[in-house]
Amino acid sequence: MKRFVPTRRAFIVAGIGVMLFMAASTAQAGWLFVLAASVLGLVATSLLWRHNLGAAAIERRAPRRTCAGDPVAVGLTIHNRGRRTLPLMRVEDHFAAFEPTVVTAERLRPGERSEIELVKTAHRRGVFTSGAVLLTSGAPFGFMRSRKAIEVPGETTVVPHWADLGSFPILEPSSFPADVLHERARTGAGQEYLGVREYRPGDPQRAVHWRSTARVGELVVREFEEEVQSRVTLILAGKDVGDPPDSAFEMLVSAAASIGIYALNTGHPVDLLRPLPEGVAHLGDPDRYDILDWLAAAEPIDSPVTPLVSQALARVGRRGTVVVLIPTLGEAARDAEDAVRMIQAAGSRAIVVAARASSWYDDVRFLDFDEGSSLQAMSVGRTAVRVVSRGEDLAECLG
Amino acid sequence: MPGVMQSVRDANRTRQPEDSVALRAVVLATVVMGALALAVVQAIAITSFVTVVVMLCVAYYVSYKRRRDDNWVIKIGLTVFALLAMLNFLRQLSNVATLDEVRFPLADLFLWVQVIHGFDLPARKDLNFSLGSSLTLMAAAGSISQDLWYGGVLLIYFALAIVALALLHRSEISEGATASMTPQSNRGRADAKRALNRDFLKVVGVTTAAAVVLFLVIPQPHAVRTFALPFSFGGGGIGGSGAVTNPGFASGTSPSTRASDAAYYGFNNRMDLSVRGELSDEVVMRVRASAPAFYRGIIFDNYDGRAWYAPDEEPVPLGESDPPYGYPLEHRSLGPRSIVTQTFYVEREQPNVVFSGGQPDSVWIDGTLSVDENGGLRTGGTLSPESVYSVVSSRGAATPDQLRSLPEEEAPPKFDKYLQIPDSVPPRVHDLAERLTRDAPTRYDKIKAIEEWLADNFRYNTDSPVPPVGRDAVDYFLFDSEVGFCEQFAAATAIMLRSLGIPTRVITGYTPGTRNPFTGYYEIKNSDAHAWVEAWFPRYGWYEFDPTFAVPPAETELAETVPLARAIEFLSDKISVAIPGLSPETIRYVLYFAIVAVVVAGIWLGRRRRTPRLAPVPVAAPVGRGGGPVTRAFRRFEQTLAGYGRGRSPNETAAELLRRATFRSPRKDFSKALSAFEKERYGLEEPTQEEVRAAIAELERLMDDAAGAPRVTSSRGT
Repeated sequence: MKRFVPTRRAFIVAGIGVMLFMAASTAQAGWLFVLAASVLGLVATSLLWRHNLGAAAIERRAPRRTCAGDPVAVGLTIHNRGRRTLPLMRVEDHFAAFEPTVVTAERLRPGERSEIELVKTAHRRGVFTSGAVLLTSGAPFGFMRSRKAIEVPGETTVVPHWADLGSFPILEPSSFPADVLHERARTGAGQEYLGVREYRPGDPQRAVHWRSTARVGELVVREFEEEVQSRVTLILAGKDVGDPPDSAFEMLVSAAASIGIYALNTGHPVDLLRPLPEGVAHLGDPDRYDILDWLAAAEPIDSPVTPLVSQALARVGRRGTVVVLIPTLGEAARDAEDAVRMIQAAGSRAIVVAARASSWYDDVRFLDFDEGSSLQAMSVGRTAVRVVSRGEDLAECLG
Repeated sequence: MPGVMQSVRDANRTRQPEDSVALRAVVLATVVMGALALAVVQAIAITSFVTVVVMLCVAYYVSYKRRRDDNWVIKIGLTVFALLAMLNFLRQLSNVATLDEVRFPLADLFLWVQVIHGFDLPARKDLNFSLGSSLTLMAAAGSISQDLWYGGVLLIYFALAIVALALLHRSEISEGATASMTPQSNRGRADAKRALNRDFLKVVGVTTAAAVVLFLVIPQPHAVRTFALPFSFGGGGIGGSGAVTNPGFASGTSPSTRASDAAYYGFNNRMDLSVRGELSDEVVMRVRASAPAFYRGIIFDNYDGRAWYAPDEEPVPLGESDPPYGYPLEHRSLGPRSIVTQTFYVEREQPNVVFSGGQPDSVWIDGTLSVDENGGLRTGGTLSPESVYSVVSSRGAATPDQLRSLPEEEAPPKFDKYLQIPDSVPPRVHDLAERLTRDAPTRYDKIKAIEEWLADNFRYNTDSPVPPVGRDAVDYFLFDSEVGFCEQFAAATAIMLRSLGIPTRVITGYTPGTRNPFTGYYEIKNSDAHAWVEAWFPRYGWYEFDPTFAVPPAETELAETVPLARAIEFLSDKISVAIPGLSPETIRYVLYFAIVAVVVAGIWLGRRRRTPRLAPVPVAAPVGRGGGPVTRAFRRFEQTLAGYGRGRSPNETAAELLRRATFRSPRKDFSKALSAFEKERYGLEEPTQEEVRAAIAELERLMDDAAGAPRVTSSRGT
């Protein structure tokens, strides 16, 4: 970035000065020479008036964590560490966590500092570690412009917005007969008494139901329900459509946050998976803050979801739920049918949350994919499919 | 149709209305100063000025109030008024005699455009345009101004323009800004205001200095030719016949004694060498000229031993056509010539003589113009004040070598009158001339030899002895008095050259006068009246020689175009007079060297100041007792913090600094350090050795912590 450059106005004024000088020469008018010299003197003064913006030290105060769309107080402090007065400046804070801040900073004498606190809105999700503050000055006349970009660190995580869900079909009674098998309780060492059965080698002695044994004449043991908490794995993948924060992927991220928090609230262990440019990102057994932080860093990557499903099934096992969050277009959508079949084949529940990509198109004439077919493919084997669209209420769509 | 209208209105709606009342007020003030400048130079009447100021105030108020509106009705109205102003301008043009006079209706038009435009100034760019337009008003006034009053207006205008530019920059910087950051300090409003005023004065000072330097060093070249030359008739003068009419003397009389110190008696048909007297320093003419020149007025050919005579026959009119009047061919000289353009603004009534720098080529004058048989120009009557006329003339530009190389040829018979010598001139004058020019091979060398001899052996005095009755004035000057002034020097040179067979004539007119660097006019005083000679050269014609002083060369010198060089020349001449033994050249070199040294030192100091250095730390002023070991350790601690961008601010107490520095420190205890520091600095008793050791240890721990703490980001650190 050039540090001290003439502005267009400087050239115009210098041009006027030269024209006055030529007019003075032609007319031999001494006052015009004085006028020309004065006008050129303005430009010369601007050339001499160095701004020394490098002496400015800047601090930013922003909250460590905030939620997209929430208002937060962001403070800026400028300290003049130089020996000369800092001129009137335009201060633009391009910290990406918030919408750009533009303020003016009055002259700062050596050692002085000025502070300001503004209420900003964290307009998009993400993990932001630094952002440039751009200082601009053209003092005294705006003929020469100095610019200085100062990288100011400050970590702020803007977590995605989430909805409080009233319900979501994780391990809830299915309306489909094919799912009944998977709904059946597993036997194990839990507290819930299920019944009795014949003794098998290895059964603990305290499990023997002596009354039945006496009645049947052979060893009979009591059977208890297996104490299992059904795991939920969320897979988030696919390309983005629209302009963040109003985009399909952002809506899927919010959906993932909502489902994850709902799962935690209803006592289900949660795993999250998303593709990386190389490999897979996994978050296991998180609390709600971990989920939000992890999702804050999620980036849209369009890749087949079956490799992620393989990993998800390894985590959930049978009777687990795999929630696949993808848009209705791209590689991820094309791979959705195979992914769902894979989940069902493994005896787990598949739920697809699909972002209707077409709703982010301003003109549907530009649609270059068959969204209906895509959605139909996702609902293979009567998979539970939740479709979210632009502008719709997330809780209603998912619940 | 309503849709179209709405589109037009939407297109005209101001995107970024300018809300700053201060900016509008200052821009208005600059425009008013532009109008005032025009009034000061009398380009507009005072009533027009008052009307314009009132209308401008109304216009600016309206445009401020309606800055957020589309103003399409006003715009339509303004278009109509602009057309009317243009029609008025065209109407005024029909009354303009010369292209030069277009400046006046043009200034009028600019002014009314300003008023009209003033009604529609919603945005910053409009105010920017107004500020620029005010400069055109100042320029129009500056091109007309002939005195120093304009300078006062210009000073105020520039102070206002500087404020306007600063406010425009503030508006530009603040565009889109949601808030303003003001310094946190304990300085009060009065202190802040003083600082702002200091800054303003600094800007004004630097700008003024830059303008003065530029004014001094930028060459002011002389224009070669002006295409539109002004002339106007100042009013009725004294009519005359073929003779020269000098308003300072009774008509038709040839003074034998001084009749007026405000009129040169040489501006007559007869120039009596016996007349003595001083001339006043009153400015009689201002001349805007492309180069300094001797302004030729009357050409004398005949000498009778006491006086010189110009032809008093009826001069020949120069055609019936409108100006410019061409100079007759028979009077023109040939060879290399340099063009000089002049416009004469008559301040005091002048003879019916048209002056010109050398030989006139063309003359713009209102009235009749005629030429006498020597080539002198006459008008129908004396030239009254406010008369203006312009002359494009030429001066012989042959170099001395060119003049030396000319072949010696006999002058044509028509120049015989310029060889006339009366019987009153004794032969010893001729003998003297022969003796002086014995070693001079060429005509040019003969002239220079006589000039040098006069310069070496004669003294200048306007109160020289009057030649006795019956004595030839030239002979008396050369052999008896040896004291005289321009007329004696010119007459003696002319007679001696004539005796050598060189056609020569005596000229009276004005020296170039003094150039006012601000107005650009050469101010010619009555005392600038002068006499010199013209000698004839074969093929090239008449060339000027001034035996009294030096005729300015046709080529411009550095000192004539660069004001600084002119000032240095002036100073060096003055100093050389004050300090005998030091030549002006030496002083000039010393002054140039001093200027260069000052500039170099200034640049060096400027660069040194610009070298980015971070303040090590603004250490608090030592209040209380001097520095003991704890104080020194505390200073080191401050410097350590400053090195990491967390230096002590001027108003921060030691406790505040320690609290801030230990905010994130794992070792937050600073009580020993603070206690010992305060005890050492301000306490009644010195801290004990143990306390000192504990305090220093604590401070060193804090310094270690500071070294591990993250730096405050700054441009330097990243």
